[in-house]
Amino acid sequence: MPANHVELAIVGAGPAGLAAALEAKAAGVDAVVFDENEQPGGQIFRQPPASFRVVDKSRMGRDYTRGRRLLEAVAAADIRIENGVTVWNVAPDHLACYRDDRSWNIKSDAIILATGAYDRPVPLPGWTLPGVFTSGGVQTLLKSQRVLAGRRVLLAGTGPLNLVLANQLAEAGADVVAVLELANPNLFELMPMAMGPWELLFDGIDYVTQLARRKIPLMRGWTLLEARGTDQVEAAVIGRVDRDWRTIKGSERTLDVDTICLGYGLVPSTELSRLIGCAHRYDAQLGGWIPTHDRYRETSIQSVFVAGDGSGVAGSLVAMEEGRLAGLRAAWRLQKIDDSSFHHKAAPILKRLHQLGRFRTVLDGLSAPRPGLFERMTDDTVICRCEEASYGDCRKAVSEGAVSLMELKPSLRAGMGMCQSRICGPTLVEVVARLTGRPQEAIAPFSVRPPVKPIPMSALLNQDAAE
Amino acid sequence: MTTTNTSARIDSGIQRGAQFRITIDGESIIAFEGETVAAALIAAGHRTLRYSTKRKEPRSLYCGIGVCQECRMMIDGVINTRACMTPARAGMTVKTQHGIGEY
Repeated sequence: MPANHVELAIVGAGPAGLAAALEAKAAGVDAVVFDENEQPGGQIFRQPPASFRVVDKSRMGRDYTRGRRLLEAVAAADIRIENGVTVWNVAPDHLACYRDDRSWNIKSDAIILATGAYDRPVPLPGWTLPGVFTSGGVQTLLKSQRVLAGRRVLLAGTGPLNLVLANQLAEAGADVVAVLELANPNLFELMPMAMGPWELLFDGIDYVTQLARRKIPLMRGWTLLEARGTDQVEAAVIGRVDRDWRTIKGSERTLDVDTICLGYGLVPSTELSRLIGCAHRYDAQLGGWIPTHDRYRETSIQSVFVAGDGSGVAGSLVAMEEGRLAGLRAAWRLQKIDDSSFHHKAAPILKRLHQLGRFRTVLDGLSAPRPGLFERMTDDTVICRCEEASYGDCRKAVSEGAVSLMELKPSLRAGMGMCQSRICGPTLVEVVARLTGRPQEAIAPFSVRPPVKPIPMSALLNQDAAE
Repeated sequence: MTTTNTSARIDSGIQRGAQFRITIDGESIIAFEGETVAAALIAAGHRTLRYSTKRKEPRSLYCGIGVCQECRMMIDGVINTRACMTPARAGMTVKTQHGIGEY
C-alpha cells in the first residue's frame, strides 16, 4: 500500500505536473504525482506504451522529443509517479485515489492540481457518427498507439493542433483532404506574434509550410457544417464562415471522407478545482470556467495550487513554466525555501511567462469561440451524448422557464450521465446564455460531486479506512 | 457491427510488443501488448463500440483520452469499461455494449 501521507500531492503527470514535481523535489519537498494514464507525459507528451520499442525517433514528432527530455529529467530526479490512479475526490488536506478495484486516501500538506484539458466539444448534425473523432483523440491513437484512425480524413475547427495533426496523418500515410480553419486573420492581427517567442512562431510557420509542401489545402474561413453517413461517416458538408463564424449561405460543398477530426481548441478540466472549493471565473479566451489564482499559482485556498491547461488553456510551454512556479511556491509554503530564495528562482520563470503570454493572447483571440460556432445545431442534434438530450430539448426547457444548467437536469438529465457533464457542460453554458440572453459568466457550471469519474462500487467497499 | 478497411497500424519507427488475440462479439482479432482495446478494434476496422440507450445509435471512440465515456464496452464481463483506457490482454473478451449494458 502506498504511504498515506505526502508533503505535496500533484494531480496530473503532464508538462505542468512534472515540471512542478521537478522544482518541488529540487527544493527538498516529498512530492508524489498521481495520473490516470498508464504512463506519465499527459496528452501532449504522451509516449508509446512501455512494451513498444521506438526504433526511429525522427518519426515520432517534436512533442515526442520535447516530452522525452522532460520525462528523462523526471526519471533522473527519482520522482515518484503513481500511474493508473484516478483521483476521484479531493479536499484541501487529502485526496481519494482509485486503482485496481481499490480506493484509498492520501493526506497531503499541499496540493497542485495540474489536470490539463480536453478537446472542446462542438455539437453539429452528425457529430456522433462513428468516424467523427476529436483531433486530440486521433492524435493520441497516432502518436501513442501508432494506429491511423482513418484513410480519407478531413480536419475542421481552429487552432494549431489541427495543423500539427494534418501533417502527422499525412506522414503516416493518410489521405488528408483538407484542414478547415475557422479563423481567417489579416496580417495586422498577427503582427504581435512577430515579437516572439521565436520558437512558437517558427513552429507555426513550419506547420503551414509542411502542409503546402504536401499539397494539403488549408482553407481559412471554412468549417464543417454537417457529418453525413448511416453507420459511419461517409461525407462532410462544409461551408464558408464570416468573421463571427456564422455560415455564409450558398457556400456549401460536400466532400467524400471516411474520417473527420474536430479540433476547436481545448476546455480546462476543472472538476477537482471546483470540487475542492476554489473560486472560479469565466474567461472565454482561456477555455471557459477556470480557477482563480495569485501571481504564484496559489488558488483562493491556501496551499492549493493550479498549473497548466487545467487553469486556463495556454499550451505546453506555458504549462511547464506555470508548473515550475507552482512547485516552487508550494516548496515556499512548506517552508523548504525562504522568501529570497523563492523570488530569486521565480523571477526568470515570470519573465518567460510574460513573453509566452504575449504570443498566446494573439492565438487565443483568434481561436476563442465566436457566436456562429454554436449555430450549426438543429433541434435534433444531440448536445449531451450520455443522456441524448438534444438542442431542441434544451430550447423547450428554456422556453418553459429554465435559466440555469441546474434547471435543465430534471427534464433532460443533461449533465447526469457517465461523463458527468464534461462533454455537454461547456456547450450548455453557451446555449443557455444565448437562449436566455444572459452573459456566459452568469451561467454557473454544473456542480461537481465525488466520485468525479465513474469508479466501481466494489472499490468503495474495498476502501481502506481513512486515517 | 460496422467494419471498414479504413484504418491501419503504422509500422515505421516502432516495434510493437507481443502479438496475441482478443475477441470482439465472438470474432477473433489481433492485438499487441501495450495497445488499448480501442486501438486494437479501430486497427481491425471495427468502429462501432456501443449503441446509445435511447436512440440506439452507433457510437465510437470520440475523445480518446478517457473523458467522454463514449467508448464504453463490456470487457471481460464488466460493463461500462472504457475501451480507450483499457490495455488489451491475451484472450480478452470484448462485447459491443447496448444501452447501459446487460449482464
